[in-house]
Amino acid sequence: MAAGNFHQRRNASDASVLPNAGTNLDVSWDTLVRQDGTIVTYSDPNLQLDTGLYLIIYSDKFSTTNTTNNERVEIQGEIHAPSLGYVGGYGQDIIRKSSGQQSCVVSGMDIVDITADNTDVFIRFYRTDNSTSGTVDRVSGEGSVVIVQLDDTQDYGFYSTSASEATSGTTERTLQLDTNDRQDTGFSRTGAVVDVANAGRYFVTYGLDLSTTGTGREDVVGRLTNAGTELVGSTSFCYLRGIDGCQDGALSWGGILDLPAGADVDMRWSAPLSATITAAAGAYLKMWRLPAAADVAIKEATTGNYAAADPFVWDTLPFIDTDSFTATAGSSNIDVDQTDYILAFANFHQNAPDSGQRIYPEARFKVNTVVNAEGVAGVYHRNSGGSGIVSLNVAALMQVPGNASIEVQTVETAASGTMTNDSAQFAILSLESIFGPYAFPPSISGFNGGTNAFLWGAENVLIAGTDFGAVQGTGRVEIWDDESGTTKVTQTVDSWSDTSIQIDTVRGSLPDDTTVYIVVVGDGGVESAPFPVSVGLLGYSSAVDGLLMDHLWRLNNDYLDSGDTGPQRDMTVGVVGGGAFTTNVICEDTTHCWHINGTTVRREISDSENMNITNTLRRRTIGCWIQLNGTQKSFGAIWKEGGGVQNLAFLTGLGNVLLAQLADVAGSRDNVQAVSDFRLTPSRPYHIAMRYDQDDSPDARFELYVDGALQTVTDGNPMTINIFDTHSGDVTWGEPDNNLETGAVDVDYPGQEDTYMSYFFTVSENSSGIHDGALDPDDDIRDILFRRGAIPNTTISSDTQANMQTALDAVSSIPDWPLGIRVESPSSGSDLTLTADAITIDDRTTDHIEWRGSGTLTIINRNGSNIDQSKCWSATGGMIVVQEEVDLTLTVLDATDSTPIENARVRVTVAASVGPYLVGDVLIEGVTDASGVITAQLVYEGVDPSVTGRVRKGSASTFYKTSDIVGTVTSEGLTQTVFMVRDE
Amino acid sequence: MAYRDDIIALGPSHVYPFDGNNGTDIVGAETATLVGTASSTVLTEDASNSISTNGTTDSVDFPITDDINNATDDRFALCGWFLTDRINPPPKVIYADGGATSSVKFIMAFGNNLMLECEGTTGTPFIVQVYGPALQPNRAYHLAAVFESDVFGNQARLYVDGVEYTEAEPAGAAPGEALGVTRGQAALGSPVSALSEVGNLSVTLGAPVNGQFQFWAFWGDNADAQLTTTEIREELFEKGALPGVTISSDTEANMQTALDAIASSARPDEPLNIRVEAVSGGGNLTLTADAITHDALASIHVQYTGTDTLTWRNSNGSNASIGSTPNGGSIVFVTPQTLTVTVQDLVDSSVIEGARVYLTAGAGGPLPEGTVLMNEVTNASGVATVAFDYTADQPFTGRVRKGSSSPYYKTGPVAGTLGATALDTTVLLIGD
Repeated sequence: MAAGNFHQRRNASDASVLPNAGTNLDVSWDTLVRQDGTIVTYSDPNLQLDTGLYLIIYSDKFSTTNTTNNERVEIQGEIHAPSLGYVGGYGQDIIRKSSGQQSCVVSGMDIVDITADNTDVFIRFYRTDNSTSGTVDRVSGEGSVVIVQLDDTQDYGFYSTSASEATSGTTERTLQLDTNDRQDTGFSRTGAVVDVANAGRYFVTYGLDLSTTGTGREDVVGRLTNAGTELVGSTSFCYLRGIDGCQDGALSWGGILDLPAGADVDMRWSAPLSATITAAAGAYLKMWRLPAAADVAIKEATTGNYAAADPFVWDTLPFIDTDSFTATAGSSNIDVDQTDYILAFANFHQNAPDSGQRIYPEARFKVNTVVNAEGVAGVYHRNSGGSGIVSLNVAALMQVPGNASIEVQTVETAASGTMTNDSAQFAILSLESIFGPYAFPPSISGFNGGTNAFLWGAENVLIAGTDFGAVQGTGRVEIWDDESGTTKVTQTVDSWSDTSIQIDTVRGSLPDDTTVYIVVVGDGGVESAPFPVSVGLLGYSSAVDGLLMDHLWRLNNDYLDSGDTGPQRDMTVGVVGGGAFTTNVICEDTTHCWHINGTTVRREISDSENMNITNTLRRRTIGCWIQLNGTQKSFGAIWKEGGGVQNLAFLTGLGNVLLAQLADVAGSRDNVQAVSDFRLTPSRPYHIAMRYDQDDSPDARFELYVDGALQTVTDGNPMTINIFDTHSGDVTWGEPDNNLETGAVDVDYPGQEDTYMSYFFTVSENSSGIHDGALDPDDDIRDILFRRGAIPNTTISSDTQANMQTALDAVSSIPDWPLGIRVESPSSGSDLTLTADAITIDDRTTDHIEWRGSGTLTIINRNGSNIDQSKCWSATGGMIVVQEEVDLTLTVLDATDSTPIENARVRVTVAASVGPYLVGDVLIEGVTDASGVITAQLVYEGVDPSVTGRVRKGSASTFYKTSDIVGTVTSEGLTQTVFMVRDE
Repeated sequence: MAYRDDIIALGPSHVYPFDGNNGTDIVGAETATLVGTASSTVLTEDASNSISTNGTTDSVDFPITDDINNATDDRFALCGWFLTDRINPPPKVIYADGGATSSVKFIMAFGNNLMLECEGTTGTPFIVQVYGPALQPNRAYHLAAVFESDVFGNQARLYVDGVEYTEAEPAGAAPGEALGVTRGQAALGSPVSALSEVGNLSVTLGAPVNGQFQFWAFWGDNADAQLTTTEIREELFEKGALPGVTISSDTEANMQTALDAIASSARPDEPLNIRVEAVSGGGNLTLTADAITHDALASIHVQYTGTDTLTWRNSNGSNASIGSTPNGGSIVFVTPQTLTVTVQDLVDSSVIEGARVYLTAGAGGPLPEGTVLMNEVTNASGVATVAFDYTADQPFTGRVRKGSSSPYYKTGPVAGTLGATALDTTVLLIGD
């Protein structure tokens, strides 16, 4: 243990219920964020410390989904060291359950003097309110607990109160510090005032445990002054509600102050409203004089609106140590010049009420624009009926790379008004300047060019960061399956420097298509924090979301619209029959699909300005996955919007012919039909999509795509009028209205016969997607909407090449299906060769192979396999090569009587190098059978090798003279008869 | 014999030529009623005009009679020629009889896709649908439907240009019952009775816009209604099809000249691309097509109306393969090839000049076994060639020898099969 060692933990997964009043929750911190040295032995919930002086900072978030009005949740936070009888680090916040304020943050800090080894310390939260509606749950991923061991040899002044005290009204009361808990050189106390002898920077914290017997809305405010002049950045606030058990609170603050020599520091507090507020005995003020080497930067502001303060901009720069920091006035950031551990503090204050009601601002820090959630603060206040005075304080420990830009984000999560700043301070303390040098662990800042994504087998992938070490030594890179590294696979390192490592990825037994974690282990065995990255492909759901549809009904066991543009239109209107959900699935990322189980079934949505009303849309794409579970005998309407005069519709009939139509005023507007080139196979999923773009040049066309393929038969193209007005007829799935105009005739179509449907979407130019409403036929309609959603008939799962070949050998045929075979990447290496032995794929199967590797998949067609390279694809950047294996057959006959010669020895080689065939490569070698035949196979690779060879039979009678062989292997193989002359 | 006589020879109950805007029945004297129709261009042989439904409510209403709609039919057939000049966007009726419960219909919709539907409620209700092709605008088609209950073939069959379509629901297209007696009045175009039903569900139906009709015929419930595929193809379709081009009767040379006039052309999607009449004076005829290709959807490539043999040589990529011989003649489609045999010394692979190559047809091919295919002597390059007209794969055997002058060689055997790709082989001989 040494001064400057620290330990930080966070809550990654705990969602414990904070019990109703009367029961404490001593929280667990399940995940180590970082540590230097080993100052904590953690045993949930205890942070066990040895003798020493420790700065402890905590913040934690809670929420409830219960919205029972006029109920409040008041949460207290404290630092406990029960064996020492110590309680401090007070914090408090309130969830009002109204105006959308469903969460709050409780934070606090303290300097705790641990006077015995193996002392357990924990953070306790508890409620005093009387609300019993719903539950209050801990929120994971926000906040942390930080413990920094301080240097006991430095100078400190710790003071506290021995008795409770109370105040009421706007007149400030000076906290009656009367006990010197510790007073080193440079500190003295006169009454309640602490005299600071030396100019310099000081870390200061204070805490008061409050309560009231009042029954109104009670504000309590606190601050530090130097002989009555407010020390900027030292304000605090607490809101108590004198009903519902919410009569408890705390004033809590900590930060960096730049004090002049002889400063007379006191803590003052008041209760601007009428009730009496009591501070319990044990309220404290603690000061740590930072050593001369300590580098600090301080910014201040007297303006700023919290609702639009991301990042908050600071007016002045009253103090900066340029050894460690770079900053300017009038900007948001303080830059840390070197790799460092920093303590950051920010304090905001409002002194005037506004018209707002219930306001809840939160604050966090940002490192290089990325929000750091390990330190968070929030404060609930009620301006109407309150004093309008409020403060918000946030603190965090952060590891930062060199030249890191540090900013503060403030957001209002439940505002009905705004909180306007009049006095704020932002301070950073460099721990490196005090306790350094630290052995910084490797820190990863980016992966694979900032994509933070890769594919298994990817090579030459760069990891960016700091403190990797100039040389690799015993260092390594691992990929973990989870944050704790349940499974770790060491990667192949190509190159290594202090800020960059290049690797070739190795999968081993790690998963695919999910999040994994990169960890750099330094030469000394120090691990970086796990850096999350995506491996493989995003799921179909995410891929479709990326197209930013106006409306998207996944129909995955609900009728909700999850489109991007909206407005949200759930398929819950005009329900007749309604169909049902079934666990049969027709596309990826689903567990259910919608079953249209009768010709009278229908569902509608409310009108949408991005479909049928309000806007005249020039670009649309509409589609879904569909499976007809039989041959449609009647005419069936799958979907339509509009009706008489104008409509868009999908229809089926005449033995599962699919029709898409755009109907407009007959004779004077565009009327277009597009028909599937084939009848849809029953019980086989298809992806269907209609598309038009009235701004297409040179021709605007209305098109139908099936499985991503443009259908050729249309009537009415190119469109010439290019106006498609709004069409107020209902948006209906299933049985339409009785006037669906088709070619100037109002046709009364029935509904759809037995059909499954998934992922119905519509998108227009009002989408914010780059496609502008007309999805790209290849990139979007085929490659994403169809291919990424196609469920393969067979999957060859990731394994060794041998096992994957065995799996493929079990396949004999592929029926008519969207995708025949999905081949995952092999468990080692990136390339893969598989032989398809007598595998016949139905000629109506849309895609034969999807390759999920990043290298080259070579498929060899053997024994009549018909895998077609033009129907193979890879969304993972892989290459696919399909090669044909051809037969090489020689028949050896007696030149005299043409009888077959058995046991003639044949050797045929490549005569001249061409393509992959090298001169001398042996193509046939062996002896003929009883029919005088010898056969071999060759993978034909697109070029025709010339061959040469000899046949002889001299080992047993009948003997023959040697005969020569010349010829050429073509795509048909080689078939040749060789005559031999007897030699007896 | 005139086309109408060819139809009548098959024993129909009623035949409506629609040769002009009239509903005359030339067999059963049951005149059809015309509603809004007009006279239009001819679709078939043996007529000057056709009848047209140029509005969605136009129709040809057939009389109510046992041989069309007014009887329980275990056997029933109808056929006729149809053309429309466009893709019809709304669902259309080409022909329909019956009401909602028992009927026979030709339906066209969704890109002019064709469907035959037969529905019955006698006994076990049934709906049989047979699916045909998408009918192309401005292209005449011969449509035929043959219905046989379980008493007979138990199948509904659809023919287009004499070719049967078998994609059906249910598969096999077995009705299992007879067509009911309650079928309503039959009509071409706009339905007469409440026929707005497909697949037993109501839908709005109308007449094809500018639909043309010619030579529609009906067979009532008798043996003649069991039309055979040959009758439908060769009598009802082939004999009525109008040609795109006719090579009229003349000397063979002049007929070749006439054919050369369409050299290097692509014959379109038609019922019949090229009709070739008999050569003047009769006898066999050989014509060479020079780069004449045929649309994949054309129903007849070459029709020969003579009584002898037409040899049609597909040269320069010509690809005629579908023939029609309505008058008893025959057509042989051949592809000219050059057979090449190269002869070399087995020891040093040097070419052998003056070797005789003798190939004859083996068994199993179109030529009589023993037919001489090549009897040539190799040139200075050791190569012998001969012209050959390929019709189908032809096995061959043969030998190569050189005994007339030194160096002498022993006889070398050669065998194989002549295929679509011209023979080009090398034979190695042993010095003797």
